[in-house]
Amino acid sequence: MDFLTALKISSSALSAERLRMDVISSNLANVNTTRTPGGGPYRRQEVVFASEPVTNSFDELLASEQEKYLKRVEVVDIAVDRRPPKLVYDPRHPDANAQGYVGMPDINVIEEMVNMLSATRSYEANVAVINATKSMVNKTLEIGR
Amino acid sequence: MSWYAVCMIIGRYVSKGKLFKEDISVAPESLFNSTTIMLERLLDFQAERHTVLSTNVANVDTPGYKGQDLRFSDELKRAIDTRGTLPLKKTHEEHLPVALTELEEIEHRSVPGTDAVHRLDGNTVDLDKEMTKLSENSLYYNVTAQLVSKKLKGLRTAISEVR
Repeated sequence: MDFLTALKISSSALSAERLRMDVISSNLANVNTTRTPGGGPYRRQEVVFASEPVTNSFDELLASEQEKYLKRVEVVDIAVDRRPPKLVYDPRHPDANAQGYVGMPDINVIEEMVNMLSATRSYEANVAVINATKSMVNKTLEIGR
Repeated sequence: MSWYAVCMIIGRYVSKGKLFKEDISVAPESLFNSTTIMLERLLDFQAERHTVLSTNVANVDTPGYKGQDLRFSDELKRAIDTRGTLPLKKTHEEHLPVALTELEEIEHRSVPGTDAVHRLDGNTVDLDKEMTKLSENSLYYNVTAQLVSKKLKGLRTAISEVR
């Protein structure tokens, strides 16, 4: 049924945006982290979104031509930013190198905040779509009442 | 062309039994007449369009995603010639021209959005436009559902009041 597909698509976007938000908070939280399990300072991360067909294996058999252009969102990767660590001169820091420089994560707080706002707005837009879908479903149920 | 005008045109052809092959047997004066069928198809279309528009909103942050839309009235408008009639699709060179066509084929077609790319990630979705279209479509759907409801209510009144 159509509306279930619409809900499925919108909810895929909700979870994708939520994961994006998680990654952004991780970046913001680790803005000064100099030690990680992998060694070296924390590296900034970013989600990679891709649109995937909305069908599952059973649906594929039934999918009509019309349903092939319906795409849900999926986070295909959480990519590590390639920007090198920012070197800060602080000889008293426990992780300072021989020259007195500490490798700090190169995270731009403003950039992260802008991304966070963008994720929030996209999330809200999808919630609005889900509400519209719900009102349409309710209206359908009222037919013949 | 307004949505109402589209309804009227489709209604005219549905009532002649030309729009849907399976509905040809439905006589205009039977219990569920052309109006009900027309409204049904409109509900179908609007539900489908809602799904497509939600796809656009869902993919608003996907790089390279191209926005889509379903156009019903535009396709119809293209099919109607200047005299306000619908040309019949000819399967043979020597077929005589007739005024009607199978409307089935010109609805529910996916149209790529016409908006130019204005974002660095190649995405063509404009969230404001999509949300406007979505709420507009949603309102139309509610109107259509209301009409179906009223139609059935009218039938019920006709059945129960005539005793």
